[in-house]
Amino acid sequence: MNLFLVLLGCKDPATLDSAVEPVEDPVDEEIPESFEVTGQIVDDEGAPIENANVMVGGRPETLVLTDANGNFSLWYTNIYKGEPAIVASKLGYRAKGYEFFKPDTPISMSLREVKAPDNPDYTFQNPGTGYDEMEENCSHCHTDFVRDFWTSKHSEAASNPLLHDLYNGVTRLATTVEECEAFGGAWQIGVEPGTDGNPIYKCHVEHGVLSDLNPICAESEQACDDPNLDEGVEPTAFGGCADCHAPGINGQLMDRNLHDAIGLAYDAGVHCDTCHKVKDIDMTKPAGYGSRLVVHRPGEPGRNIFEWDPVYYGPIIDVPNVAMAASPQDKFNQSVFCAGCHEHEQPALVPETTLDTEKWPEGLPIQSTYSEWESGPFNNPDTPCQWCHMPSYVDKTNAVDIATVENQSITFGFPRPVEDVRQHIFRSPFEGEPRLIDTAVHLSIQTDIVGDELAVSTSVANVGCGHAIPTGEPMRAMYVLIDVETDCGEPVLQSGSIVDEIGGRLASGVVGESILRSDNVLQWTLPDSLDFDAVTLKVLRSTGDYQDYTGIGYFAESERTLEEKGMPNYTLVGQTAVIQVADGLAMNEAIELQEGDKLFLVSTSAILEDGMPSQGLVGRTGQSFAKVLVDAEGTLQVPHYKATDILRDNRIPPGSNLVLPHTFQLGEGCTTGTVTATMLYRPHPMNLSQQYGWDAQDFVIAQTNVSW
Amino acid sequence: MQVLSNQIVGVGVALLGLGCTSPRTSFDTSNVDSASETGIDGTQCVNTFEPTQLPDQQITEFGTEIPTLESVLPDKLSETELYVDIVQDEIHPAVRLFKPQYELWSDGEGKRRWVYIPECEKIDSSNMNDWSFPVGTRFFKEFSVGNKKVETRYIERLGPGEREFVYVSYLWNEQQTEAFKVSPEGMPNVLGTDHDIPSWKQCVECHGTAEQGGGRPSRGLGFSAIMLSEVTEGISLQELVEMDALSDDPEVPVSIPGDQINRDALGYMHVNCGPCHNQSKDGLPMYDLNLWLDVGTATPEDSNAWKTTVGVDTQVFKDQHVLGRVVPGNPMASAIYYRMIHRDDAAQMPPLATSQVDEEGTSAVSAWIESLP
Repeated sequence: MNLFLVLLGCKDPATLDSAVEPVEDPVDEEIPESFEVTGQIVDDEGAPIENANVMVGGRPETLVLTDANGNFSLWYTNIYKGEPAIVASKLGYRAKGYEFFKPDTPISMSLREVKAPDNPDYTFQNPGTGYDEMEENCSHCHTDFVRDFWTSKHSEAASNPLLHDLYNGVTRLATTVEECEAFGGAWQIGVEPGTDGNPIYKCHVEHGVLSDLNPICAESEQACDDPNLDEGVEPTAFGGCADCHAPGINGQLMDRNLHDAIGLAYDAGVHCDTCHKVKDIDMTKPAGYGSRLVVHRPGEPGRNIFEWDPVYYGPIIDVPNVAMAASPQDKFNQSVFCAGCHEHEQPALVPETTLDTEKWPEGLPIQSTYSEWESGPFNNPDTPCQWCHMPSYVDKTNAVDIATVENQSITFGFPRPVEDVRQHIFRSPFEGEPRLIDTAVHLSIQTDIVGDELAVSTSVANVGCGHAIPTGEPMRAMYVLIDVETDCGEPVLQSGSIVDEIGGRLASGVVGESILRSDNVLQWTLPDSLDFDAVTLKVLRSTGDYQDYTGIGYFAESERTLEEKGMPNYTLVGQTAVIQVADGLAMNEAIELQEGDKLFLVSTSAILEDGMPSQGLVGRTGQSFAKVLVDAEGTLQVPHYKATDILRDNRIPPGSNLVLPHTFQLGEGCTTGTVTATMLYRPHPMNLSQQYGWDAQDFVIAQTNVSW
Repeated sequence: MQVLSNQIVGVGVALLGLGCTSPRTSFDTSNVDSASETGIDGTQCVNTFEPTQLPDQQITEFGTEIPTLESVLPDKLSETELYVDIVQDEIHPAVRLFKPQYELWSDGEGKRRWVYIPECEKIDSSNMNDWSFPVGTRFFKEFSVGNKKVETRYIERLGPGEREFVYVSYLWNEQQTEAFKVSPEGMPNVLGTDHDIPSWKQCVECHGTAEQGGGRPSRGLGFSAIMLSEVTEGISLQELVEMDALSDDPEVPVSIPGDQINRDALGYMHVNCGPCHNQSKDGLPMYDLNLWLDVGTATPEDSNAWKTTVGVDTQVFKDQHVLGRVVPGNPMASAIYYRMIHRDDAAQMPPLATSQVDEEGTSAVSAWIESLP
């Protein structure tokens, strides 16, 4: 028989017959149906353990806590199924089960402590594939969990190509030296992500985590991710990326190079053994694995095939399987567990940049998903993050796939309530039918026509999310667009918001700064790659006032002025097609420009379709919703490692809505018309997509219309 | 699963040990070969149908497989014992028709419902709001579009545990002579109609627990004291009492309070909204909205619906049209009504199993809101 299987408590499939036959009399005959069980719980040195959980396995109603002497007393009722057991557990100790006991005989159980400190010599265990039953890993017993995991974004956390593009400052648009030079990049050797220093040529662009945070290598002849960097110029600042994206790097935790994620640490990202080595969440510490996520890898020598004495922290208090050596931590059931990474404040990371410490005393709130939940109506023990993102199984009553009511035991575990058997899919916005994100937003429109003026009121509400929308990675943005079609031509927008520069563009500039005007020609340095077919010039002018909104965090505080909320109003001064001429761009229709006007080149509007390539939405009637990070130069929507400030955060908090008023001048003779509101979701900004060669897509997540 | 005559004695002995008495006579099965019979000593009781047995592990060439509960139910509807003759639409006499006085809206589709309650057992009605059905209880609901039967759903209680229920659906064939068990994923637009067969996951979004989306502990949502209190067709609460099928008879008159406007709205919301929006342990978590009508509610003002909606602000749903859950005299400003008239967006209520607005039902709720002082 396979030694590993026996140790794990699971039976070798070749001998499973004896394990799964109906148990005729699983309990000693002399054990009565109901009786009191007493005993003592001690540690491995014989000292009593106070407040240890003691219960009949699978029967939470029997749970008691030990007293100061480690003593307990509980009432046991035999259910005549499987091999019932008394289970004792406590955080910091390995749970244990006691299967053979008789009435009136006190029992004593010793729990092995998981002794401090965290053991950096521990090697994280492989989840397995979820398809090979003989695998000696998590998948062997928790097959469905592991299959779930491999469908999740957590499994891609360390290998996500976008992450490595940003980290290394590499564009995927250029795959040859010629393309790279045309792009303005440097064709240099860098490391192939996930490998142990395999060198490959890549097109390095101006910005990346390593080059921006480590001038010493950025100024060298080599790329900062060159696996054979000259001595003395190796990067030493890594932006904390690996602290959440690659927790499975063995060895010392925190402040590690993402390139140290090779093998399992790269392939499996945030995997089973990384989460289940989290002993606690310490919200006083910065986000990260080994910091806010308090990690405790076992250091006691193991036996048999185990190099180290196992321990797995988890949400269930009665898991006595010796191979699991479970240590119960209720925070696995709570939103705060997710705050280990999904609540993230950071200092200024780029050298010689600083934060406004009065504005951001705790650091820049890069990710605030947890606090968004905490301050919203979903802040309820029954609706933690796990309620939506780790939904319960329909037909599973045990984490062990071959467990049944009949074989419940120390080995196979016990039937559990539905909330204790959760899918490990970490459901993402586009997962499920309907997609999770499609249940988030409700749009409604009210119209009123007085004379030749159409008043449109659009409500944008977050009705389905426990956190703000969008949330998480601050590159994400949403846009509501208001379109009016009539039988009397295109109405003219008279008042109301338009999409600002967050809407994306092919190119942008400011009159008097990067753009000079000579008659009808604009002197404007534009990328050579720009295709002027179907391109529209849009001119936005600040009105000098600011919009109000509900806001998140700092921006939701009542003392904030509108200016501090940072969302200036713009008017669309004009728009026109352009043609390229010898000395610049010629406008087809003259637009009266002023110093400070913001000019944008965008693709001429196309039909809004789910999954369409991102198009510049600047100047369209509507509004953008985003947490807008800026760097020291004032560049908008920068990757968070560069950020030194947050310009605004008008994302929609849970359980709130925003009403946008617009008025339009109708043409003569209007009798019919339709107003359509569309909500688009954009995972990352157009400018970064252009820079790094990412597929830039917009997704329609809500739409409604009203006709008259 | 059906108990044959030559098996009755043995089974009856077992049942005697459980304290069974004679079967209730109201479930008349005298004209069926396999009907229950009184045992040889005159005191034994035999249920017409035995509960479906829970599956065992199976050893296959691929290793150990645990059959899902659903997989042990028959592949064909004709094998479920709902029918004596499925082709002739002859229902087994041990299975009783019922029709709740207010029905769950199903986009106007025709529905027929049946229940089988083991004759030797009683419904535990100690909590009159949440009956606990005996193991072996079966519910059937048939959906038809026009004259075409499209789906029959089957719920059975397989064990005493609160989640030991099984939910499967059967898809009718074009010939209308048989229906076949549908895979867990469900099936859209069956038989060329707009009817969607739900996935097993969707079944428990209404019939399950709070974690699964909401429900009531009884799981059988339309077969309740309130819904059977005043019926025009099929088995009634009064009949159940007369049959001695309840462990506890109602201590108070069971009815929906108020005038017809109140009754229609409270009854409609009870069956269409209350199964998720309730304060039982299986109700939708977080929300204090409660649209379940408790037995014994004396006046409309005492109803959960009234107390948790009228003049109450919304908890999560905000919209420019909406000023509260129920705004007296103003249906369009009332989230309850507003969401009922929405389809195919995040405002839709109920959120699944319907794609058309229930004009009659929403009119009843609108009239109620209009009538509120």
